[in-house]
Amino acid sequence: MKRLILAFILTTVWAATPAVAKVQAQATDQPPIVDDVQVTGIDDDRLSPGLRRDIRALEGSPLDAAAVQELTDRVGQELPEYIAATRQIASAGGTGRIRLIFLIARIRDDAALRDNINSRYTVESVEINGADELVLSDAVRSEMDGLVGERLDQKEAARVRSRIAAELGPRQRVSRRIRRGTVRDKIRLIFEIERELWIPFRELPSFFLYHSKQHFSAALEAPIEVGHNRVSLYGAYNADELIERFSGLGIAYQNVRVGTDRLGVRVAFTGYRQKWESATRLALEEAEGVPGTYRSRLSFEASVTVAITPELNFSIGTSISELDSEMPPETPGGSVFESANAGLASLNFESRWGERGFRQSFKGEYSARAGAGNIASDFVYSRHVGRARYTFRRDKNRFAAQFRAGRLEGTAPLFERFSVGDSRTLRGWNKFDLTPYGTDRVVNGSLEYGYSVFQIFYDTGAAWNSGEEVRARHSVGFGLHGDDPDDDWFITLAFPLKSSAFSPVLSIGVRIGGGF
Amino acid sequence: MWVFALIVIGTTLAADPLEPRLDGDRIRVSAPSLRFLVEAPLEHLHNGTSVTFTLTLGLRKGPDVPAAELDTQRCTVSYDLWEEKFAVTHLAPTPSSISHLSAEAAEAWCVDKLSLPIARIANDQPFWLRLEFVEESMADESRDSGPFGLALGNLIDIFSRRGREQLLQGREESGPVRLKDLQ
Repeated sequence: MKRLILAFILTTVWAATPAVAKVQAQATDQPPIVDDVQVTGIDDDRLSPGLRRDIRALEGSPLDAAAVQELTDRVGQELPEYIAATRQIASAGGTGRIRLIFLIARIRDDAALRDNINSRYTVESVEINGADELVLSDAVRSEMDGLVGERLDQKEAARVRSRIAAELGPRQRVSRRIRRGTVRDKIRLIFEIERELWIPFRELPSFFLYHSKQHFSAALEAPIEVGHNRVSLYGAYNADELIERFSGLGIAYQNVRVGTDRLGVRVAFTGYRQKWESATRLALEEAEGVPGTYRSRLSFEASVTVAITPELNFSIGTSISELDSEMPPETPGGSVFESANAGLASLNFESRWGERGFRQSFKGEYSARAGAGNIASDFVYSRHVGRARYTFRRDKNRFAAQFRAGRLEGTAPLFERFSVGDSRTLRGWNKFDLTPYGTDRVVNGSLEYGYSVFQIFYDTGAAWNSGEEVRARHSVGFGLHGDDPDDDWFITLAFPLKSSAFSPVLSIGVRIGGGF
Repeated sequence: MWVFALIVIGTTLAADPLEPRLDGDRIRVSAPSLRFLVEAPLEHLHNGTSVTFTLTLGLRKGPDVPAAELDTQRCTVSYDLWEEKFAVTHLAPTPSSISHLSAEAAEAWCVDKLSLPIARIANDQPFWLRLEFVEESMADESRDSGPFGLALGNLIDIFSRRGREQLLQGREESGPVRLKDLQ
C-alpha cells in the first residue's frame, strides 16, 4: 500500500500534473474552494496538532497555493523520513470546488529517492553547455527531449550522458548536473561538455602476462598527473616486446599543453639490463652485419609534439642511448660502450565515431628513427614503421583489423630490429624460432572477431632480412577477453598453421594502457 | 592565575574530538568537529549528484594496536535543490532514509549509525576510539562492464586517468576512554 502511495505521489503528482503547479496556474483565475482536505500515507496523529489544525483550516476557503506549499514543507520538516505532495480532485460539491489530498510516503520505500532525493522532481528542460547541441544526432537529441516532463531518472540521465559522450568522441568530457527549474519542484538537467586536451598523455603499457613459449613479462607505470603535467615512474621485466628481455626502471615527464593546446613536450630516462635467449646468441654467431648483444641500455629521449587537430599530431625529438656491449671473451676488458643516438619523428592520428552500441575507431601512426654519425652515433641507420588499427563494435560484437609494416636500413642496434611471434603478433608462433635476432623488414596483420567475452582471431605476417626470401606465416586462435582486448584481461590459445609439429601457444594476462 | 587560565584554555582546546556515549550494551560517538560534507563532495552535491561515504569506527586497546572492535557503515547523501537541505540514506540491509537536514545534522546522522559492542571491555580498561571516513568514488558512467569486467575495470581505473580524482577522507581519534567514566 505504501509503495502504491509513493508511486502515486511520484508519478501522478510530480511527473504528470504537479498539483502545486496546477494550483498556481489556477490561482491566476478564480481559485477553487477547498471542500475537503485529506491526509493519506500516515496516521493523522503522526503530525503535530498545530500542523493538523492548519491543514484542516484550508477547508471551506479558496485554495491558497502558497499556504499549501508551506504546509507541504512543514510536513517534510516534521517527518524527515517522508516526502509529501498535494493533489486536488474535483469535488462532488460542484464546479469550482475541490478536494485537496496530502500524499505522504516514506523515502526509503523508493530506490531512486534513496539514491538521490532530487529524483522526486520533474525535469523541466535538458540543456547542453559548452557545445552546440546541433553537433549531436537527432537520435540523441530525441532521447534528451524524452527526459523532459518526466520525473528525474538518474540512470536514464546517466545513459543519455554516455550517449552524448560516445557521439562527441574521446576529446570531449561530458558531465551532468542539475539546477533548479523556473518553477517550484522542477529541475533543469544540464550536460556540461568540456574539451579535453589536443595532445593526449602518452601512457606506457602496464601489463602482466604469461606466454607459454616466452614465459612471464610484466610492466607497471605509476603516473602522477597535475594539470597538464604527468610524471611517470616505470618498471619493466619484459620479454614480449623485443628480441631482448629487458628489466629496469624509467622516469618520464610530459607536459601536453605548453602555452597552447597545440604544443607538448616529453622527456624520459630509462635504464635497462638485458638478458638474451640462447637462440639469439647462437643465431648471431652466424649472422653478418648485425651488431652484437649488450648488457645494459641507458636511454634519454626528448620530444616536442605539435597538434594539427585534436585527432592529428606529429612529434620530433632525439634519443640518446648508451649500450654496454658484450664483446667476445678474448676482448680486453670484455665490454665496450657504444652510442645509439637517433633523431625521431612520428605522425599520429586517432579518431572515434559512432554511437554507444555502434562505435568505430581508427588509429594510425607512422614513426621514423634515424641514427647518424653527425649525432655521435656508432650506429648509422634509418627505421620506418607504419601501423594502423580499425575497430568496429556493435552491441556485443566486435571486429578489429590491424596492420604493421616496418623497414630498417643500415646497421641498427638489436632493440630496433623487428620481430613477430609474441602476445600481439603472429600469436601461436615463437619469435625466437622465427626471428631469433630480429629482422630489418616486417609486415604483419591481424583480424579479430569477438562476441561478448569470446574471441577468435587470425594473424598473419612475415619478418625477413633484406635479400632473403619472404615467407608469410599464419596462425589462428580463440580465447576470452575483457571489454577491450588492448586494455583489459585476456586468455588466448593460438595455433600456428604449419605442416610440422603442432604446438599451440597459450598466453594469459592483463594489459592496461599503452596499447596501439 | 594566568598560568591556570592558560591551562584551562589549553585543556578546552585539546578536548577529545570524539564524544563517546553508552547506548545499552554498545558505545556510540559524536564527532562535532568532523566535517565531510565539504570541498569536492559538497560541490558534487550542489550539482545534484549523490555522494556515498564509508564510515568506520574502531575501538583499540592501545593507541597503535589493531582494532579490537570495528564497525563500518555506508551513507549516501544528496542535496535537495529546492529544499536546500540534505537527505541521507543509510545503506544497510534494511535501508533507512532521512531528509530536511543541515550539513552538520546529516554528518551527525551518519556518524550515529556507527556503534560498537562493549561486552568485552572491562569497566576500568582504557581504550581508544578512531572514527574514519572516506568518500567512495563515483561510478564511471561511461564504462561498460562485461561479466568479468567489473573487478578488472576497477583495476584499470587505478592505473589509468579514470578515477584518479582525489577522494576526501579523514579521521578523528580519542582516548584513553574508560567505560566507568561514561556511566
